[in-house]
Amino acid sequence: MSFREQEIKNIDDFIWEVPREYDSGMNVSARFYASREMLAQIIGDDALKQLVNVACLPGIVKYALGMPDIHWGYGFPIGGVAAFDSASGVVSPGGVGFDINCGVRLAVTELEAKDIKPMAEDIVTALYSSVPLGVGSEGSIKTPKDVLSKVLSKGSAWAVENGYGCAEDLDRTEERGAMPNAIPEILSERAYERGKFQLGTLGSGNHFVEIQEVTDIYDAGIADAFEVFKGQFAVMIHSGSRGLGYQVCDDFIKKLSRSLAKYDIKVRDRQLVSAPVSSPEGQEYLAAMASAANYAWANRQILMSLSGKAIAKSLRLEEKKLGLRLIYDVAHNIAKMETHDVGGKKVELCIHRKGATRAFPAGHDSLPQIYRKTGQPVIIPGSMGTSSYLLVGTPMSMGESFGSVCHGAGRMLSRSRALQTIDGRQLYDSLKKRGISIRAKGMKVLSKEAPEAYKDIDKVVEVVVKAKLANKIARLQPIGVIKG
Amino acid sequence: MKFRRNQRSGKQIKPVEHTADAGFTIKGGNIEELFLNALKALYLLIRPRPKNKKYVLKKISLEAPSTEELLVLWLNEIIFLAEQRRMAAGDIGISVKDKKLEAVLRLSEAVDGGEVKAATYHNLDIKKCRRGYSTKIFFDL
Repeated sequence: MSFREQEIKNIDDFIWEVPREYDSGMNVSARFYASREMLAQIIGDDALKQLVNVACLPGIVKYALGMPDIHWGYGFPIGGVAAFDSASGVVSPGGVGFDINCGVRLAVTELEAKDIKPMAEDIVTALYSSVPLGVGSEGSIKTPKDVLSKVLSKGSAWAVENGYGCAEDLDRTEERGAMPNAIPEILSERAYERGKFQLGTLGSGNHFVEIQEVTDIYDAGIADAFEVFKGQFAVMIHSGSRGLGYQVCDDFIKKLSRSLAKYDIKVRDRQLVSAPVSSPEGQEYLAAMASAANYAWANRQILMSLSGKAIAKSLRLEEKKLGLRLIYDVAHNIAKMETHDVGGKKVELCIHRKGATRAFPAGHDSLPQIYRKTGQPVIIPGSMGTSSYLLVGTPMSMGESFGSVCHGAGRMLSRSRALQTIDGRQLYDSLKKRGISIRAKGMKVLSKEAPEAYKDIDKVVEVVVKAKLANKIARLQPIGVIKG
Repeated sequence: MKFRRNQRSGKQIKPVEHTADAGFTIKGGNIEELFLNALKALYLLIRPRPKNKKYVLKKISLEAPSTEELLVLWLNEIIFLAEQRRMAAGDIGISVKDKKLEAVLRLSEAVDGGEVKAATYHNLDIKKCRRGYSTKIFFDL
């Protein structure tokens, strides 16, 4: 079902709304951020219908929100944010997705990109052979159940204790790399089995390790505080909780389907199955989801360490001289209990970010001291071959979007259409001409993940900046990328 | 339960455009055929390449409160076998009755060409039609 433009209310230059009156089942309006130019594309697929379905869920607060990268998902739209009252609202595994805590991290080095560019091919080759990637990839870290249980509790800290990165990385990770409400015992045997060999693996699809150059600085003061400078050589990693996370989501969709009648919850799409946040089923899901989220943080922590070692080796440098330092790690598929101001009152809410990034402003008490004055670094990866951005959250985002912004460019073209219209070999050659080295498991991956399959990241970021949800700090351009 | 060769089924499987993931309209002359064709659609995404001609037999028994859920359980079982055991089904014997599925699969070792995270319930609605059954099914990639 596509919407007609007349059915959409224009709130201001960058905010649009499907009003509550549109559908008698809606508990709140469905609001989304976009420029006028993006509107036709957004109303052209099923994303807004999905946003309306989310607006019908019980206990939703203020709005069902869509970021400018919004697009059709399954159940929740991707690029969606929804807040539910902790007493009357619900939690939905479909509002987090199968890849629990899929996220992205940005690390910078002591080096200048101009000095490493001549060795870009060597670096990318080294990354490709050192970082396990591809379909069902397995890593060298074997985690029997007792060890895996510790990973699920401790998250990034487990990785640091086992020699992957340093303690400072924890302060630079959302939730310090571990949600405290994790209960590993809740996970099914099958989840454990799927997680056993996949720790420290990238996966496939749109997951990547990218080497980049900081090409633009927009806020010198904050960039300085982050120790980010123009020309700097940086590394960005995008991955998630792998098969373990998919299994947790699958297990709990089944489990929560059984309790819909018990709580008299009606959903318009089975993928939106939910349970009251305060119910035993809801709490159990949140504890299982937190365990999978911790696995994802440990995974990205290990991937960063493997990447650092591979890059240093290919440059024949001591790792210390590379100086790989984490700026921040953000989750973009997650549900979290957060306190927000609603109508002048502090309220505890269950915030679902499905393809959306937390963007807390300066002064927020959840932020570590190092970022208390600047605001939380927000990492927005581009599509292959395009810019990525480093932003910070603003106070406006707290009032308008529950401290959230977009998570990337957002898909525009289906994978099958991309395969039909984009030649992977030609893309490889054109990126190479632009000085971007690529290693991927086949040319089909390149076609499916081509920049043309995504919205323009510059325009997506411009919307969140003009809507005052975040400020730009720096822009990064790719030098090389590996994909599974 | 009869063994059926796992071959492509032409008009019974039609891709549905989906921005982020992959979807199909699946048809089947009977419910077993619908389940088999859904598996074939899944294999269009996983693209398993058998390593050799050796096979093992595996029995699968599933039960669910609805036929829709049974279909998702079935497909997620196949995804698990592909990802975790690196096995793909050749010939399949399948019976679906009263929301229960019994299947025997001839599994061979295989290398997968694509990753599928899970079968989803999005827009899943198995309908009886003039020539059997049909449904849409979406997979998270």
